[in-house]
Amino acid sequence: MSPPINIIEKNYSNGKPFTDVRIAVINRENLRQITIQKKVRIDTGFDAGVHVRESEMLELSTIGIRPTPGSATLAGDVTAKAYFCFAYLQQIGDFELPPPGMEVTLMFQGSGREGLLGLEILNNWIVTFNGPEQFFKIVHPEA
Amino acid sequence: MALDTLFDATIPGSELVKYESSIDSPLLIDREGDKPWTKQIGINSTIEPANYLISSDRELMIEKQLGKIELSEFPVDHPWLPQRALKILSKLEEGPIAEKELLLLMDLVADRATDHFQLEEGRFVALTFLGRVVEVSDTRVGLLKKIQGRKFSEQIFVWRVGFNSFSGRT
Repeated sequence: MSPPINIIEKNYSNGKPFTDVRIAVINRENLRQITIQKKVRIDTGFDAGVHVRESEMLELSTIGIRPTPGSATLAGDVTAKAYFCFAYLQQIGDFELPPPGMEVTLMFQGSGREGLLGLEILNNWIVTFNGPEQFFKIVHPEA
Repeated sequence: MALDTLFDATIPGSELVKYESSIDSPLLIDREGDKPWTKQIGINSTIEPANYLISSDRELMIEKQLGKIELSEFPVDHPWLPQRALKILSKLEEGPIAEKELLLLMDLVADRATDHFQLEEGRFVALTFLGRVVEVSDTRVGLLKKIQGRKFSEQIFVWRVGFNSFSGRT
């Protein structure tokens, strides 16, 4: 049995649990890829992988990927148009995931600068929020 | 009085399977397991039993018989859509529409497709705006992986069966 792996341990920033991620979108037809680096907030209320603003999906056209439209439920039970594509989470904080990365849903919606990292990713790990000490910790459970 | 018919259906490389149909109860019955097929064949349809194609996993291959079982009011491969959906679709053909209308259209189409194809709650589906099912998966990621990079003749959208949206707040 391998021991648990510490993925990230970080202090809150502005009272919230933020981290940096690197996501790659690959067009398997022509093998072209694009990477998106983003500061995201850990959000256990978001059920997909990574949420970024809609304008960021324009870059995907350069590799021939068009995210698929759909809808998303936002805070207050408001439904909004969103776009979705398949991506790989390659890095979280300083931790590099084994290639090609973790398969995730990348959602493009709205215009907020703040990205979100959701349950689809967090469910793979043990996440601890230490409110009083203002830090969070993500650990890969022992295999 | 029920009129029962018994017929054989084969395809190359598969075993011989016998089926029974009845005019009173137009179900296809698996004689070996005595399990009724879940899909019913309409009484007024003109399909001939001898022309059913049964695959090795015993699914009806309806696509090859479209011309025979299709009624103009109820196309087999996509559901009839409500007037509101058709109105928005015709607007969509002319140009971009408001976000609210697009969301309503997706909702109406997904609802009707769910009933028509008896889609299982919780599954993730990709649909055309006419209600055809393009792809189905148990997971969100699985669905997106299947459709990524593929070219479709019609615009598609993604949906989670039985939910208000594909993703979002839990």
